[in-house]
Amino acid sequence: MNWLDRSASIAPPGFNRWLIPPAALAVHLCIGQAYATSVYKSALIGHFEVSQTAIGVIFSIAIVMLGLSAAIMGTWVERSGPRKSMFVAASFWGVGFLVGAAGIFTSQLWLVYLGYGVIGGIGLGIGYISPVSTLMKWFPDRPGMATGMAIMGFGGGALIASPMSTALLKFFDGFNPAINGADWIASGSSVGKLFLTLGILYFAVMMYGVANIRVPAASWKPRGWNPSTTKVDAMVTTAHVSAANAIKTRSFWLIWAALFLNVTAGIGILEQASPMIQDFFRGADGNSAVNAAVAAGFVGMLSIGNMAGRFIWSSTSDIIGRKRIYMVYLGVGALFYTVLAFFGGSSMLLFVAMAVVIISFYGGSFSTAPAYLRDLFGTYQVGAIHGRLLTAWSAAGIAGPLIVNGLLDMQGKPGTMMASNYLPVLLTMVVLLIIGFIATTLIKPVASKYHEPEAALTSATQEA
Amino acid sequence: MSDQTHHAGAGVQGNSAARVTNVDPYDVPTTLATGKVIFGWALVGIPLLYGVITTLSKVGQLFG
Repeated sequence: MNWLDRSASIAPPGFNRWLIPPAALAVHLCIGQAYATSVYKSALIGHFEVSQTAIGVIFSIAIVMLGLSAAIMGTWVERSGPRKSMFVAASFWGVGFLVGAAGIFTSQLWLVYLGYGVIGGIGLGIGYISPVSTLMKWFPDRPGMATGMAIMGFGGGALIASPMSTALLKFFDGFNPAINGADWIASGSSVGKLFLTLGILYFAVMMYGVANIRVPAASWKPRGWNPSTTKVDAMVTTAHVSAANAIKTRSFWLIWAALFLNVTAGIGILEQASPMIQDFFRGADGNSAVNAAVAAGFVGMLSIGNMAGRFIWSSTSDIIGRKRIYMVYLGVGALFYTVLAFFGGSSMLLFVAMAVVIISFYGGSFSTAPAYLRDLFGTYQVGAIHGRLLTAWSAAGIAGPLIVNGLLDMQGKPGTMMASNYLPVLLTMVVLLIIGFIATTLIKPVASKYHEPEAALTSATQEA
Repeated sequence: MSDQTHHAGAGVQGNSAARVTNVDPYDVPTTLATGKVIFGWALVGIPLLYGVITTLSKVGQLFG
């Protein structure tokens, strides 16, 4: 299909670059549904009559596949261009839901693992990295803002998917508030219908992105922006490094470590958000001042912080620099975690404010990462390098919950803990963030021996 | 939204005096495509706004 080729998606003269962010967002808002799986978790547990872990594995498989597919397919995505890779992502994401629906209707859990977990997870990985390097090429003057816009969508996807899925489940189940109480749990068949609906809907919306994404001509640049007059920054290279060479550099692994440690610490709060706020405000009589509905409000607040941080902090990095913003994420993050650990239980406002800022740093570290990679390794294969970096996310997705759950299990049973029981967890996160802060300070410009020769770059440009 | 132009490889174009000059074929004003821009941003913005408002309605209970 020639229409999907990179060469067919080169923007014509006069193309408005502000058409690109909605195309990128169309993909990221859809795949961001991955953060909203808790909506139907209880329904699937009841339908398949299995443990929480067995259903939680679906999400875990999807996140592991996200990291693996982004790392393995990154070079292909870079070579094929955003249109073809976004089409492949839309197909995998849509088909993943349809196969998952088949698994629910036939009560075969392995089909849900295969569909949503494996097939959908591949769609997640390819979709996540597909539009990012293209956006940075369209906004070379504001790469942080550009990646922030797209990756904000991944955070925002759950904000849309969560209420939309609840509304659809109620519709499919014929929910009646007079009959169904507050403890209503959706039926398995309605979750199956939800998967069918989401598969078709997400494929259609992502196809809008496929149809409207464009790559700029090789030497295009915004009017009035002259790279040669831009303030010289040793941390921003004009050279280019291949993905194969990038992973041989110390700087790549230092960014990997910083992202891994920041995400691990962020997951510490995200994973435990609802019980955590209830435990922090539990009285001596064992009753919490925070009920489940208020805790849900806190989780919603964190989602908004996660999404907003992706745009705000990444845009800020265009002004203060990528290294400094990462030092803020990790340094100020460690400070706020310490405040949360020792004083979080004294005030609801303080607790929520600290947690929301920490989660905004969590989101910001994701969206700033591709711009940081561009600064250090150039635009040549930045999408492929970004794909390899995302293995840090997969690793943190395993390490974060393991650390948090392991330490909390030693403190007591769920529903009986208090603020003091969270000290070991939160102080562990502080140590992780300090290590990440040190790693960030050690990031240096990439040595010239890793730079691509000019001839190879010219040849690659002509082939594209 | 119109702060851009293309500066691609040198094109060749003659003027009325038949003098050959290098003219950038992409050096044209940006087509605003207002309808497409509004549709695109509405497609992603309206659902996002719906999600944010729905979530904020729950957040109100935190301090209510």
